[in-house]
Amino acid sequence: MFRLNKLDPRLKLTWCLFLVLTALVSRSILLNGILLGVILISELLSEKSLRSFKMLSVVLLIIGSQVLVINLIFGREGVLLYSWGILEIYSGFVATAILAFLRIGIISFSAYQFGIHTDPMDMAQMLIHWRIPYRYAMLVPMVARFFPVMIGEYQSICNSQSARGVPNDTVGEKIRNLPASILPLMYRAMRISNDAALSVELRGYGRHASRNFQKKINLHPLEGMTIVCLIIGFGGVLIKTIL
Amino acid sequence: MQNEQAIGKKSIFKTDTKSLIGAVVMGIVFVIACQITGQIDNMLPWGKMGMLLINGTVWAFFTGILTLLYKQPGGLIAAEVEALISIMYTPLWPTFIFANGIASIWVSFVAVKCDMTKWSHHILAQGGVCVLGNAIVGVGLVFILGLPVGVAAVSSLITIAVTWPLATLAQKKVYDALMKSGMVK
Repeated sequence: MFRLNKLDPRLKLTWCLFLVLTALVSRSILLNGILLGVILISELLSEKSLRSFKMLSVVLLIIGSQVLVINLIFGREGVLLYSWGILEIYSGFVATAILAFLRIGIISFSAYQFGIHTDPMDMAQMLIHWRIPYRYAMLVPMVARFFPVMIGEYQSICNSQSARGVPNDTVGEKIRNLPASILPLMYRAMRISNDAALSVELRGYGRHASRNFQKKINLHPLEGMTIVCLIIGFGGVLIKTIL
Repeated sequence: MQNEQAIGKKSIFKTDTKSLIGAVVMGIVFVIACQITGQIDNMLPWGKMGMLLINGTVWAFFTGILTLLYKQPGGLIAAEVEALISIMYTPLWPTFIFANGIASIWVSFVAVKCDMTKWSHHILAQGGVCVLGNAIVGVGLVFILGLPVGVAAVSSLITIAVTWPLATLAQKKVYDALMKSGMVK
């Protein structure tokens, strides 16, 4: 059965980079539409639902609608359709907005897919395979470990401010309260990082040249061939776009 | 700790464990701050037009102060943590990878040449951060979001004009306070 999280991280990264770079290079709406479809189908085959894309889809719809409005007002491609005072609407705005929408969809979904289906430990091992010292490679799992911790710290600061009766409803109040929420968070972050640094040093972090992992990543020959095919495929797209 | 003591005061590098882990944790704070300010900007009229002025100020401030605090590669790590986590909420993340990296390296170069005690040093550091960062994001606005070049250029120029003085002011004040507290040597 096809599972994205079982694949080698190097293959997933190549797939992600192939999608991002192809979306940036190509100006074909058809090709971009196919690539977006492939991302959604691969997610459906692997996870049986598109639930993980729900939040990102809302964000992209908002950004996409902003892009559409800006292109509608300021776009100057195509023929003039309508003119009223300084407002001029050209026919090219639809194609530009569709291409931009497909492009932002591919760029966001491909990277998000790589992020959610790749274990941070696998990413660290991938970096170690690329000769990056493990002291630096292990920072990737640390980001994954500390992210929920810091979110929790921020929420506890917000709760403390609410308990003190600090109003935080209007935009003006939110701006005024920004230093009162961010500066304590910075202070807590420094305290947590000092404690964590001391803890890992006492456990011998960085003492030895290498490090063992419970589960090792191995590139299957078929995955290696897929990486080569993706690189050749991107080369083809690049040549076709230039010519 | 030995590395920290061995490296001279004017060195661009600081590779002790405290700096590396500090950069990671502060990078997450950087992400949270950018998320909050992004939401505030989106409620304001300029945010609806795609110009994130408060967010841009906080971005420039954090890029500068974290590089001054943790030097390299800490500054670069914190900046890239923000760029990579931004995958979750913006399609402009490929430009953030370059913008954050170049801005952090710029601050390091300024910090090596200047002792960061005068306003001019902070103006220079933040000038590079704001101009280089927003120029790269401007390229992203054209190539990723497909905005007209004129719109992207005006948006970037307004963002630079607003964020440069505000981020300089914040960086100088916080850096001086950190110096006084002994956290920056």
